[in-house]
Amino acid sequence: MTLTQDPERTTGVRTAIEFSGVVKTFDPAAGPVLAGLDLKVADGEFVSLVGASGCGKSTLLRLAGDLTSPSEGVVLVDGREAAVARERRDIGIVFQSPNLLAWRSVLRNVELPLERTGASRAERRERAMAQLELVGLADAAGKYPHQISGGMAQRVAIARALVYDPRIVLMDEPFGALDEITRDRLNLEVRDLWARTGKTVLFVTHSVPEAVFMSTRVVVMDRNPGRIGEIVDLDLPAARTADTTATPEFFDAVTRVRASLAAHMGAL
Amino acid sequence: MTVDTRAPARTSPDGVVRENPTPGLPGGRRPRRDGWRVAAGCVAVAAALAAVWELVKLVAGLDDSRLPHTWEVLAYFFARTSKGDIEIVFLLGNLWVTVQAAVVGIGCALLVGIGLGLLTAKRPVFGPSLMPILVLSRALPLVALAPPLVILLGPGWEAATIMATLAGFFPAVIAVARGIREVPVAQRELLDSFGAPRRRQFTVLELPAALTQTSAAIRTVAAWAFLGAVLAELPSGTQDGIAAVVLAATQYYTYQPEPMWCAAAVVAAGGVALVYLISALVRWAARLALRTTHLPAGAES
Repeated sequence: MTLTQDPERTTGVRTAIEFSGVVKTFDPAAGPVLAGLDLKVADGEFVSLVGASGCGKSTLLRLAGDLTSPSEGVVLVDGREAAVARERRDIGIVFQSPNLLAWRSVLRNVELPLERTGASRAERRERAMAQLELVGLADAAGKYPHQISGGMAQRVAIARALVYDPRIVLMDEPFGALDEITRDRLNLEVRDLWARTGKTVLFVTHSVPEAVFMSTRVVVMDRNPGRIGEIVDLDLPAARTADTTATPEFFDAVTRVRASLAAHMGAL
Repeated sequence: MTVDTRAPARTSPDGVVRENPTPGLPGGRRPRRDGWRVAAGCVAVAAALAAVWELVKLVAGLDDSRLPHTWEVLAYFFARTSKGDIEIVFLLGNLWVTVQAAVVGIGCALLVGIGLGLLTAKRPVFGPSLMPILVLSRALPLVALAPPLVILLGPGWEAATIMATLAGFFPAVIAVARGIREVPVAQRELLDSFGAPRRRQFTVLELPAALTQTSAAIRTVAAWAFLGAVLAELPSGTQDGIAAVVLAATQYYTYQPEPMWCAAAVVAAGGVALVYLISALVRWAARLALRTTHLPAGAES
C-alpha cells in the first residue's frame, strides 16, 4: 500500500490522464466539489475511483471527458487539453444509463459515432457488427432498445463507446442499475476487453469488491471537498477470473480498500 | 397502420422502455387478431348508438317528421336527389371539397407548426415572446372568425384552408417545441463524448424527437383542421362543402329530415376517416424518415 503513485509506473509509461491542481466549483455558496486534486493515470492502466456519494467521482470523470471544465487547474489527456482529446475522439464514455436512442436499432445505435466521419455505410456496419460480436450481442443487432434487457442495453452502450477505438475509456458506474449476477458477468467482460485491447480505463464505482476485482489501482476519494484520499496499488495476478474473488489476496485487498474508505469517508 | 391504443409501456428513468408490449413482434406492431377485435368493437358501438337513437325516439314519442328511424336515414343514402344524383355520391362529392381544404390546412398547420416550434425551442428570447400570441390563437373563437374571413376572401377553398390552418397549427407548434426541448441532456452529452459537432445534435436528436412528438400530436392537429374547414363553410354564401350541405338541409328539416342526418353522418364519418388516414400517413412518413420500424410513443397534446 502506497500513499503516492508508484514512481516506476508514472515515469516508465506515458501518462494518459493527468489532473493537476484541479478545483471544480458548481455553486460557490456550497464550496468546491473537487479541491486541489492531483492524479496521474498511466497509459494502459485500469484505475477505479471509489468514495462516498457526493465526493466528486463522477465530476472527476466528466472533467477527463471534457463534459465539464475545471474551475482551476488543468486536465491533460495524452498531454493535451481534454477538449482536444475529445474532439480527436480519443475518449469513449460509458454513462450510468445506456442512453440508447429508442428509434434506432441496436446496430444503428452502435454505428452512431461513426456517422459523418468519412466511413462508408458498409464500413460502419462492419465495424459496429464487430464491436457487437465483442460484447456478445451480434444476434441482437436488429432489435430495438425497448426489446432488450438492461444488461444488454449497457453492453450496447459499451460497444458504442468502443466502436471508434478510443484509447481512453471512462466508465461512470456503468452497471450500477443492474442485478449482481449480470453485473459480475459484465465486469468480467469489461476486464477481459481491457486485457485484450490495452486501453486506459477510468472506472467509477460504489462497490469496493468490484473496484478491487477490475483494477490495477484503486483511488479512494476524500469528500467535502473531494480530493484524492489514498491510492491503493493492487498486487493481484493480472489474469483474473471469477475464482480470483475467492482468494485470500483478494479478501486482503478488499479489506485494505474498505479500511481506507472508512478512514476517508469523514463525518456523515 | 394501426393507431396505438395500448397501455403505455413501462419506462425507466433514462427513457428506455424495458418491456416489449408485444413480445416477438418487431417494432411493437399490433397482432392482426387485435385489429379484428377493434373492428368488432366499432360495429358494436355503431349498433349501440342506433339502439339509443330508436330508444330516444320511442320514449320521447318523436314522430317521423322530427326524428326519422335509423333505417329510413340509411335508406335515404341511396335515394335520388333533385338533380338525379344518388344522395351518397352527392354527399361524398361535397365531403371531398371540405377534405381537400382540410388536408391543405393540415399541411400548412404542420409547416407553420414546425417553423414556429423550431423558433420557440431554439431561440430563447423568441419563445416566451411568441407564447402569448400562440395562446391567443387558441382563445380566439373560430366560429366568430369564419364570417369576416369569408367576406374577405370570398367563399371557397382559400378561406377554408386558412381556417383549417388556424385551427390546427397550435398542437403542432407545441409538439415540435416539446420534442426539441425534451431531448435529454444525457443524449447531448453522449454526442459530445465522441466529439460530434453541435449541428449533429439537431439532426440526430432534435429532429427525431420533434418528429416523434409530431406523429403523436397529428391526430389532434388533423381533427382541429377538419373542424376549421367545416366552420369556414357555415357562413352564408358558401355552397360547396359538406358543412354547407348540412346547413342547407336543416332549412327544410321539417319538410324532410333525412337529408340533414345523412349529411351529418357523412361529416362525422369523414372527419374520423380523415384523422385516422392522416395519422397513419404521417406516422408512416416519420418511420421512413427515421429509418425505423419502432416509432417511440410521444405525448398526444
